[in-house]
Amino acid sequence: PKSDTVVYKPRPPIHEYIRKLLFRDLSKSTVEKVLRQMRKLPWSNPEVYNYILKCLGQSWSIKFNNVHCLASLVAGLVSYRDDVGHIVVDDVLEDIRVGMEINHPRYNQRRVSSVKFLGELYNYRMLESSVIFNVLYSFITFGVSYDPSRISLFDPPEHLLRIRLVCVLLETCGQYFDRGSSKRRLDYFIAYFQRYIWLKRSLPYWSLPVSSDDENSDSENTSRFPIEVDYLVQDTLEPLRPKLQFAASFQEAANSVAGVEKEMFAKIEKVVTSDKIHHQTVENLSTIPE
Amino acid sequence: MSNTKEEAEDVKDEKKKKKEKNLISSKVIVRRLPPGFTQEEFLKVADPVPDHDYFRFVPGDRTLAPNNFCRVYINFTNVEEIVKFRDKLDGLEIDKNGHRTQCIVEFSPFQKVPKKLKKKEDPK
Repeated sequence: PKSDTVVYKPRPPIHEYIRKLLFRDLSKSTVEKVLRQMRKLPWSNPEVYNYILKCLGQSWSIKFNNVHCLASLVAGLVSYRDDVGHIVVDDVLEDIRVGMEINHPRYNQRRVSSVKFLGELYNYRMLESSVIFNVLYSFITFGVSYDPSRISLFDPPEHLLRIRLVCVLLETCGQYFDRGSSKRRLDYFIAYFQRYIWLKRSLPYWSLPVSSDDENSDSENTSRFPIEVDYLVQDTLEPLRPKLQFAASFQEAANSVAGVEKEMFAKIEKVVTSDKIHHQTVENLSTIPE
Repeated sequence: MSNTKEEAEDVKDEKKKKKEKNLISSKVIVRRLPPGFTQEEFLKVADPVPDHDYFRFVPGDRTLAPNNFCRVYINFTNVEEIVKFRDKLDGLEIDKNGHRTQCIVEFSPFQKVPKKLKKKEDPK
């Protein structure tokens, strides 16, 4: 077969070198070596500086299994250059957001990689858990339509990548949400996540029979919802919460969300009233005559 | 005994204060600026940009074309200016080479900015 000759984009040597370091040399055993080379680059040149930061955000250009090395490298650079961490996190978050807005299958791999990278950056303490949870919630809410008659362009019925993205992120850093407030937050999130999955599963799109052959072979299952997705969700959540009861219907998932919300509203009310009392006592104490 | 307890509570209070300070967002992102936009053009459109201690212009990522929008991060020193800034720029339509985009002003999802005190240069 005829194959097109690969066209190489001409790049300045310094760009080629940065790309070689990050996209080819970087691996578990070479992180320190690459870090040393990266530190030697001419960071004071704004053009080179911008290029380095651009490449540091491109987790999809390296092997998926090496994404954690890139996060490790960024964490290593931060001790010498404070600004790198913030910029990389900003860029990764933007890439995740823009991916949801464009929502083109061409970028699916890239999106998975970016989400994994964000999780690894959290593992290296480049950001707080609240940012991770905001991203998790954005996956199950951004442009999501809870009305089956209104199809959302951002999250059409057949689109299941969001579930995968949630799983990738939880797989990467969910293990650290095991105590304190982040543990509770994850428990809450899992309730919402299950409702989202059931929302997808109950859409008419998935209940249509594929063909008559299929129906015969699998008469019990009326849903076409891919079993791989179920397995993926199970494999992700079970190590995090071994005792978790999976919701068996949309109603069940919705009920547990309602339970969470009830708990939450009670808490908010408590905080609001205690805040009022606190303010009152502060006002009483604040003026001390000289 | 009571002394240490009070101290512990003081520490707790301080932590709480710090937390509250972190809760106030001051870093803003302006998204969906037309592809090929430049920092100078942005400054012209946004003029005058209120007091800020952090500014970063990011040109669009060409691999995302035609969605290679530019964006700007600004950290305001005076939080009260943000509303005015948003009213001026949010939803503003900007033309560039026939690309007409409506820009969006939002709080940045990640609020941290580089520390101002620059440590000495990396000795390498």
